[in-house]
Amino acid sequence: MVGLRPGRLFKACLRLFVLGALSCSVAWAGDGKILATAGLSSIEGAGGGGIVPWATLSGYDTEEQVSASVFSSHVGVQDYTLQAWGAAIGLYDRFELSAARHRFDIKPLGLQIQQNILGAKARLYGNLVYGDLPQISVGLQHKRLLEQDVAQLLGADESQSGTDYYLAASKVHLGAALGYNLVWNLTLRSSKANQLGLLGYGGAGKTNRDLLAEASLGVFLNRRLAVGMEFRQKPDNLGVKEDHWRDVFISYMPNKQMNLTIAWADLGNVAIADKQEGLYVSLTGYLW
Amino acid sequence: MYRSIYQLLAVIFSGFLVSCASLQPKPYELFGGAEKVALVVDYFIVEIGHDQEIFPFFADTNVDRFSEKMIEQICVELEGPCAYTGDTMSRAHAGMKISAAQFNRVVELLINAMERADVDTRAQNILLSRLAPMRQEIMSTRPPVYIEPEVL
Repeated sequence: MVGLRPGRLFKACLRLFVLGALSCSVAWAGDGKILATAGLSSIEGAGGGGIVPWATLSGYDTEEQVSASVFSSHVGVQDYTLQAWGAAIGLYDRFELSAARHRFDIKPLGLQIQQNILGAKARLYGNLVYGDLPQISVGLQHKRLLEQDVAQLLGADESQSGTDYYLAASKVHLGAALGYNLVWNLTLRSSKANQLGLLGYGGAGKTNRDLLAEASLGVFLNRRLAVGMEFRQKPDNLGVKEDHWRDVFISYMPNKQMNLTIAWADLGNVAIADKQEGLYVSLTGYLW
Repeated sequence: MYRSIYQLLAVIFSGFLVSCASLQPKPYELFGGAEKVALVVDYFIVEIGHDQEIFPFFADTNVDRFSEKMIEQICVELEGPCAYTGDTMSRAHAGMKISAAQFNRVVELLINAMERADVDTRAQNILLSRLAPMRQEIMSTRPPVYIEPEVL
């Protein structure tokens, strides 16, 4: 690792994934999970919902399989756009490794902020579908800003990098919503990140972490279509009134090769600009 | 204003969840009764026959007996007017060493059969929710338990 810059490491990872994409059906290809139980790709690259990382692991791998997936998400609100893309590996329905890049455009100022996110998640217990107890996972997200000027300008305590830790529980209840399948997720996150880390970590005189609650609730209308809503509590380290995030979503999972999610996201006040709302679109492709 | 829409959605959502389940027709009727159960089992057997991974598990199965017992089992699980006269799940799957992926594959073949038979999604879910708790027994690799035969 010595002498290898994170940016270069990131590019090397991506090259590996492109190679993987070329090698199609592999004997140990991850296809053992039931359709839709791999969940979606969250905005930070971890398997999840849209704005919340879940206890689910991205990819359809079961205990003797591995999987790989790539994703791209786009959120456009009044004054900002956020583009996210990345990849994830699932190992034996036990571990998930993810890498993601954010490109955040501040439209009124013509400014751009980028960050890299490396994520890891381990399933501690349980199964999303089977058994009475939820699937429980722990994860971390290490974030590194490529452009630190805005974070410094706003007075972030740390403008280079920060790490989030989270504990998540997810469960599907078959037929629980008037006969339709219900899915819920609860995540507790320890974080200093301002607006996902795009505006740095912590603030002037605010150097401690916050414990934040995130939640998702969804219903499967059939085998391939789910609707639901999410909530993500946000800290306010910079004193610029960082609002909690919400969204309502519809996800289409036609097969184990892809899923498509469209959501309406309400990000509230983002760095002084109030009432930021808009469309969220996310696509995941499962390579093997 | 949008915040209140989210709150309204949350209320509708939670109302949806706690709504009285007794308004529902009985699972067996919602599923489509005896004819539909027989059709699903027929389609399920076809699905198994065309699945290279799963078919070997059924290679020595007597199809007529399997069909009869599975129809009974589905009927019972859907609270229909039947009795199950087949083997316990642990006996039926003894020694098979079924992996998580293989178990899920069979679930998906059953879902395919139900989809093809046009079974209501809610009825599908009810059946799956009643069959899901059998997973542990089906996948168990514990040594067999001997039960004294009943004197007839």
